[in-house]
Amino acid sequence: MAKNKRLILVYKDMPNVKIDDKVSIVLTPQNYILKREKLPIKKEYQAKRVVGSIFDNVLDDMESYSFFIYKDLDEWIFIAYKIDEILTLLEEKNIPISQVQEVFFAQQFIKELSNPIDMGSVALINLNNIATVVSKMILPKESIYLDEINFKSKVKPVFLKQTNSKIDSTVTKMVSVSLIILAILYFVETQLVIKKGVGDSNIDEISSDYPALQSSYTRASVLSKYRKIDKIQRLKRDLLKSVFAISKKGVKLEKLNMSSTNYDIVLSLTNRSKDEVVKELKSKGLKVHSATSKEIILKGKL
Amino acid sequence: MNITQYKNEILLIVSILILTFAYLFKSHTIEELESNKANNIKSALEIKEAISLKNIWEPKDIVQKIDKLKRLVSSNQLEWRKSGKKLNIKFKNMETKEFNRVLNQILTTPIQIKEIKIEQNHQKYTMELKCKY
Repeated sequence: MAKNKRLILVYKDMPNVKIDDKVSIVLTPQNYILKREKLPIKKEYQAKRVVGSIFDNVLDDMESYSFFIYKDLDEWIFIAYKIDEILTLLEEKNIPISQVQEVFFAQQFIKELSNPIDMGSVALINLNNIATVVSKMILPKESIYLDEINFKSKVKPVFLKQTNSKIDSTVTKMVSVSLIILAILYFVETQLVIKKGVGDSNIDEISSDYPALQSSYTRASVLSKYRKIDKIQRLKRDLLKSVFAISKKGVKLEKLNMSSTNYDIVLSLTNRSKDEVVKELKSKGLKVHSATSKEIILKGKL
Repeated sequence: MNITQYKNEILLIVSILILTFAYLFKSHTIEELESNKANNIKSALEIKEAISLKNIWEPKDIVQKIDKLKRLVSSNQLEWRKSGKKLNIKFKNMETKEFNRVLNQILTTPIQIKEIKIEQNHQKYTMELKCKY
């Protein structure tokens, strides 16, 4: 229980209270149903599994209950309560839910309930270790009532967590865990991709003999220079090969003049027709400047 | 407002934010890696091309390859002038067979042909070649 927090016993006939600060409330058996069982189980989650059978035929099937379970010595205490009912009561008593930080059940303080607590026409008493609401009429007249509750036991509170939440807690946890697992998978996948990506780089290996080529500027400059050389030299060689090939088939190479920019070629015909040779020359991409039955002149730019 | 009352919503929002962050991190990283990979491949191809072109047009044994041209005709048919990496060659009085051999060798030698002149006179060929290597 948090220190310095006002503790208010909430019951049906209680007078209205003024709330200025955060408070904790203690609910009486008017707002919960209690079952006490000795069960051969040790853990709370095991007790949660049997809670349905514990309250079998006790709770109204049409109502929605929440459960609070704890172990008291060798017994399990099962408490069923209706959040809606508690909220309605708090509203009736002008206790804003936003101001309520913790909720306790009177049963949790049974050891401190040595004297009855006045609840108007009724009183909260310890009856065989069970917090019970009874009519004051059955209590001895000389009974001393506690004016205010001053419980100090350290007990587990209930948070009215479902009060504003529209989502089920179990579903939330399952969805959240799934989302976080997915997020972890994304991170793992990213790490694997990064490792694989680093392994793929082989530029250093390729350019080990020419380290200068690792620079994109040097590379661009070298490529530009050699691409130009390669293009023009292949063009010149292709042209020479074409002329050389045709000069073996009834055509004689008389003169060839090839500079850096243009070419000028004279072919003489021996035993082939002009049209046939001109057609063949054009098919090889050569420009025929003039053609007679004896001579063909080729002129063009490179 | 009591935040604990909205614990479920907060937990869900935080989980969604973590997932969103993880997804964006993954997408951004993979995109960046793909881009780097594409650049690396492009660079690797350029380096290979540059090395290949350099090996073609500036081979280490270019001097030996050029010297082969000298041996294709007799010395009295040849005028050979070399200045640095520039070369002027004149092949004179070549028979058709010699001419074919010389031209074939020139076409397969990785020299940079600047100018070439060929003349045929009475079945004899003369060739002037200006090139560099």
